[in-house]
Amino acid sequence: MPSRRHFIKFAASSVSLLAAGCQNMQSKSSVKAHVVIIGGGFAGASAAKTIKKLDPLIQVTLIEANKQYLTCPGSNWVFAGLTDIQSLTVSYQNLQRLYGIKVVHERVASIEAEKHSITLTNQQKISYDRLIVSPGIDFRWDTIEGHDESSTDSVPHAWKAGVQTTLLNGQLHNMHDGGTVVICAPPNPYRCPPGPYERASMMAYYLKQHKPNSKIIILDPKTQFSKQHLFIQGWRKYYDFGKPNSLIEWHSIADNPVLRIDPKSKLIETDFGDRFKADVLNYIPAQKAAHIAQTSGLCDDSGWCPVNHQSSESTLLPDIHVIGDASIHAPIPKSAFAANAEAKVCAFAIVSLINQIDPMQPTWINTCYSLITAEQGISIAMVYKLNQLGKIAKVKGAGGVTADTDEITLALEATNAKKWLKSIVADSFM
Amino acid sequence: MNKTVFQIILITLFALYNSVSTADVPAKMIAYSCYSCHGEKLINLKLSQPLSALELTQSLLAFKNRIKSASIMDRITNGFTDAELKAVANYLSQLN
Repeated sequence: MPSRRHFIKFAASSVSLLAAGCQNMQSKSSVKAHVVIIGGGFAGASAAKTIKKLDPLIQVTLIEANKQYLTCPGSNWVFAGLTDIQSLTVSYQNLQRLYGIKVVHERVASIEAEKHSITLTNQQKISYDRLIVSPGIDFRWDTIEGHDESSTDSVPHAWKAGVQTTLLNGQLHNMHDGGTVVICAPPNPYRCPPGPYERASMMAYYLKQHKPNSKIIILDPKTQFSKQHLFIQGWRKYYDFGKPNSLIEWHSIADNPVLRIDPKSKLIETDFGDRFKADVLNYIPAQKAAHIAQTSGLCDDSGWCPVNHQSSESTLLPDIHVIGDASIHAPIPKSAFAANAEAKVCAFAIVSLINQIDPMQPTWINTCYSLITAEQGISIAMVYKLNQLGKIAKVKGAGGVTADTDEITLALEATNAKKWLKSIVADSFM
Repeated sequence: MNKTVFQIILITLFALYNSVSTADVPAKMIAYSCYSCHGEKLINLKLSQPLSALELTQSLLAFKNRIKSASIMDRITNGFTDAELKAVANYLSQLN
């Protein structure tokens, strides 16, 4: 039961809030502030929508180069024939129509932090009170020889969904039975930690039905990976993992990294001189925050953007917030779910700042589902709060991976994975 | 102050406290994280009728204490205090 003092405190704040409400009604046409968002992925779209829902008097402009968005979640399912690019495509129309967000399909050339302004590649300048930068990732091509952006037509990364996904899927379909697919997984940190292993699972699901004499080799610069024991358990059960005829092999090459790739012959060479010959080569490069974050002074030496975790405001430039894969929110992984969660925390913080209300103690939830087969799934979840140092920390006793590995549980997880994709897309874009 | 008047003030303040949702902002923030999977106003749960604050609180606490079986809600609710779950249940039940 709250104390009398508590009541009075609440009453006082309630009255002032009511008064603020009246003021808002009087000046409904006036805009309180302008928030500009660069990048319309899960982070940018969710931030735009949440700000508008919390305070319609804040003007929100979303700058996104593409007219449509293609979700990375679900894009591995294309390899198993469970979905297609069309089904993964989302429009920005609802954000404009339902929430009054101005969506500008242009590219950003530069950010002038001191002037609180951005310049588009068409030379147009847009000023902001607060800027949200959510541009996603770019690739590091300087870690290997022989392969870069120009040869991704023959060696697709398919780590941004769309044309690259279609390209890799086409190569998988054209491969002969008995061929070898090599997936070069990226080093930490990277977008979607379980992604390479779900991809191997989905490709194995296809190969098992159509080209059962083939093999998928994962070359991994890491010694362990997300949901490892659950993936391996699933691979044992469905793809003969560990046996000579296994559809999937996982090789940790932490001390022996890939040095060179020949995109024509699809030959991979490691530091110790080991050679792997692929028929289909999926090299997923090391990653960093996207170009605009790099060129505007938002990244530290790690290549990612450090932020104050309570507000997601950059620790390097004032009044600019960075969310999604480009930002450092560790230990929260770089996932669509996390981007959506970071966007909401950021939106609440920005609305509080603009309205001069004390910020709240945020909570973030992350869940990553992965499919092992068309009908079997696994998940990992965690809840995060700020610790006493103001840094994000896992809540003790929360989260974890799929507890049981019986058929019914795995089937339920797969159903939930498919439902989750629909839900997160709707929550972020619709 | 007259005792009756004081009681009336208390009751009024309590009603005000309950009716102003913005005074309950942390619960609102947690509620927004529910929407990622369950949709706004938990629409994705496709409930035949909205749950009361008590029913929602009981349900969340049952997940947390693993009385009710779950694929994932036990892992999520364990990240929140009982007070936070009660507050978010109160907030969500008031939306309908």
